[in-house]
Amino acid sequence: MGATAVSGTSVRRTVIMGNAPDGLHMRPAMAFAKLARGFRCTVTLRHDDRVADGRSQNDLLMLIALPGAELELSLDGEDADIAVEPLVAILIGSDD
Amino acid sequence: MAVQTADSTTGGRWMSMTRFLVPKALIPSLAAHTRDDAIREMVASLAAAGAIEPQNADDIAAAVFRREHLGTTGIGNGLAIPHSRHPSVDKLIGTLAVYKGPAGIEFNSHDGQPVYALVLIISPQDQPGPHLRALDSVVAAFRDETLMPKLRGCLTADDVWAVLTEA
Repeated sequence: MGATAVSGTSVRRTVIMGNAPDGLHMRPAMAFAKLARGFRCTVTLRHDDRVADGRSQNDLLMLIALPGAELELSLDGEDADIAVEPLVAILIGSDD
Repeated sequence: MAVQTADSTTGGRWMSMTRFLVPKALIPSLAAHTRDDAIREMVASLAAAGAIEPQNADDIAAAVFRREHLGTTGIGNGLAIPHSRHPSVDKLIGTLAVYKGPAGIEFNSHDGQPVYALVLIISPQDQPGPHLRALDSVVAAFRDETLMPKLRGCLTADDVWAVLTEA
């Protein structure tokens, strides 16, 4: 997990993908998207030159985020500060 | 939001699936009408094509079922990507099957809609990179809404391969 930047209702967090063997595969992607859809803030996840809507499992699968990948999580909206920790937990702890 | 990729050409995206799909195992019209039977038919097709050993087919199908029980691989828009790791394969392989019936196959998909195209992926135990790239290639290909109707119009495995490799 990297540094967090908070500005108003925006949160930026650099996250190192967990060391589980499969990276951001289908199940953690589904869990992340489902959780993200429960918040009002927008959720964006970036990996290298790929940017995904965090509410979309399919978008997240296309990030090809392997274990150890550096991801940039951006949240914008009134509940961004509440959403960040549980979303990061999925990325850090994702496993089978 | 659409994911930005280096290769955004339509043909390139479809072509990317051909890196792991076994041409002789493609199924232009599934005989099965249920999720489990469809998976069995696809695994059997991989065995018939020589991509897996026939004696491993039941165990591979069971592994795919176990994965499916953890959560559906029906990702919406008529597409499912059943998958599993299995120690009997030394490289990632897969096959694609099309269901022609109007009602589709019930897959408990996220959008509540039935499935008309399935891509089965079998991976070695310790190769997350190829697995994620395979998922990416399937999702990217089917984001093109012209792919599904083209596949549903195919009569033979060769037709399916021709669609996937068209420029």
